[in-house]
Amino acid sequence: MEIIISVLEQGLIYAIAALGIYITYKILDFPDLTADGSFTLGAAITSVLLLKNINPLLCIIISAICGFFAGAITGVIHVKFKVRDLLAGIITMMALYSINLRIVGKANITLMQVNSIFDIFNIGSISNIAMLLIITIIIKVIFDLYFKTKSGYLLKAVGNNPNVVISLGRNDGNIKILGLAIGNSLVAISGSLLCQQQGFFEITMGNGVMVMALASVIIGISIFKNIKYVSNTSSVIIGSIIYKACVSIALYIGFEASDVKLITAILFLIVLISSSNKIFEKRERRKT
Amino acid sequence: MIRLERVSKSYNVGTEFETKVFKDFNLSIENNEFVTIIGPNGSGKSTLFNIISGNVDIEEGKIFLKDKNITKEKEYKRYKYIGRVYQNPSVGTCPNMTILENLALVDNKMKKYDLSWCVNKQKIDEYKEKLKVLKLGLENHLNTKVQNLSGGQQQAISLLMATINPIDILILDEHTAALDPKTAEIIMKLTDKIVKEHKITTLMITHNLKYAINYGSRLLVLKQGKIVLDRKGKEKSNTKYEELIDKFDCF
Repeated sequence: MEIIISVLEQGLIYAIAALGIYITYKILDFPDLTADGSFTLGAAITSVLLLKNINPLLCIIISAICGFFAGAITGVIHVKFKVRDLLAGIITMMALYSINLRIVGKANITLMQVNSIFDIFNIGSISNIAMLLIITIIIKVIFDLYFKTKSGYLLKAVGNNPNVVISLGRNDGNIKILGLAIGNSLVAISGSLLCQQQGFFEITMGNGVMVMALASVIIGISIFKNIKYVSNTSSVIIGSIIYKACVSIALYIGFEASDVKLITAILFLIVLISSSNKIFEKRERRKT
Repeated sequence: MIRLERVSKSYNVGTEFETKVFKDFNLSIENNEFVTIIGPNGSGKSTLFNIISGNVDIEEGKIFLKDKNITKEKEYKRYKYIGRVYQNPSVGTCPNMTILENLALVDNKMKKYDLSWCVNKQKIDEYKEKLKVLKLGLENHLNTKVQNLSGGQQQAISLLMATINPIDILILDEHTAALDPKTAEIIMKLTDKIVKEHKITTLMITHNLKYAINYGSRLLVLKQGKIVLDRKGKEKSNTKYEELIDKFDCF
C-alpha cells in the first residue's frame, strides 16, 4: 500500500515535469537540458520562501515564474546567439547549479517544520494524492486549452515547420523562446511540489529529470498512441506513473537506492528501442 | 510594385570560392504583372527570390516594395505582404496538422495570435468553399493530416495558404518541379486561376519552358546574374521554344 501511494505521489509530481518536457521535446523538437536546473530552481525557491512562511500556493506560482525565465534564457541563448540547442540547455543548467546553491545557501535543507501545500487539508497521505491530482488535472486542462488557442497553434506550428510561422509574418525565434519558457515553468512547478512532498531540498534533486520526464513522455505516448479517446496530456501523466511504478518494482525486488540512475538509464534505453520502429517510419516518411 | 536597384550579392566572400551572383542588378516589376523566370542552374534565380523575401542579405543596393524601402526589413516581417510556395510541397504546410488546422492557422495571419480559439467552427463552410475551388475533393478531408496527402494535394494546400490572405506579391519557387506532369499541369492551371482572380503580382521560377511561354505576362531569362531576355505581351507569347533553348547554352 505504501509503495502504491508513493508511486502515485511521485508519478503525479513528475507528470508535471513530463508535460513540460512534452512541450520542449515533442512539440518544439528541442532537447532541452535546462530541465535539470529549472527543476532544482523551483525546489530551491520554494524551500527558501516556505522557510519565510510564505503561502505554499504562492511559492509554487513564484517557482513557475522563475522556471519561465530559466527556459527563456536557454531560448535566447539558442535563438539570438545561435548556440546549438543541446549546448544552450547545458549552459543554463550549469549556471543554475550555482544559482540554486546561492538561493538556498547550502546543498541541503530540511522543510519538515514548515507548512507545505500538503498541510492545507491535513488527513494523511491520501489527501496528498488528492491535492496532487487536483493540481495535475488543473495544469492538464489549462495545457489542453492553451493548445487550442491561436498562440498555442503557433507554438505547435513552430516545432512542426518553422517556415510556416515565418510565412505568417511572425518571428519563429520568439515563439520558440516562449515554448521553452512555458515548458520550464512546468518543470519548476514539479520541483516545487517534490520538495514540499518529501520535506527537504537537496541540490542534486534535479539530476536526471530531463531523462526521467522524457522516458515518461515516450512510455505514455507509445502505449496510448492507438487509443483514440486518450489525449496526449493524459498519456504523458499515466506514462509518468507507469515509469515510477517500474522503478519502484525494481527497488522492491532488491536493487539498492543508489542503483536508481542505472535503472533509469536502462529503462530509458528499453523504451527508446521499443519505440524506435516508429521513429524510423517517421524518418522515411519525411524523406519522400 | 517591386524594384531592385543596383543590387550586389556574393557568396563565400573572402574565400577562394567567392562567387558574385549579382552585380549592379536592376529589376522593376509593375503592378499585376505575372513574371515567369527561367535560366540555367546557378544563374541566380533562387538567390533573387531569397533577396526579395529577405532570406539572404545583400551587400549593396536597395529593394523597394510599393515605393517603400524594405532593404533592411527582416524576413518574417516581409512575409506580411509576400506569399511564397516552394518546390518541396511539405515546406509550405504543417505536416502534423490537419487541413482544417493549417487553414485556421493561416487565416489568422492578419490578426493577433492571442488566447482566443484558433479553429472557428463557423468558418468551416468558408474553408470548404475555398477547397472546392481546387477540385481535388479535399473539402471532404478537412480532418486529415496534411502529411497523409499526396504531393500535388499538399502543393495545392500550400498555394491556397499562400494566397488566402491579401498579399502584394506572390513568389513561386519551381512549385511544380517536384510533381508528376499531370499534377504539375493541374497545379499550374490552378495557380493561373488564383493569380488572375486575385490580381496578384506574381514571380514564378520554372524549368518548364512551355509554362514560361504559355503563362504570365512577362518572361525573363536570367544568366550569370544578368537578364539576357525580357519580353512582355505579344512579343512574349510569340517566343519560340527553340529560341529559349538557344539562350540557355552559351556558356
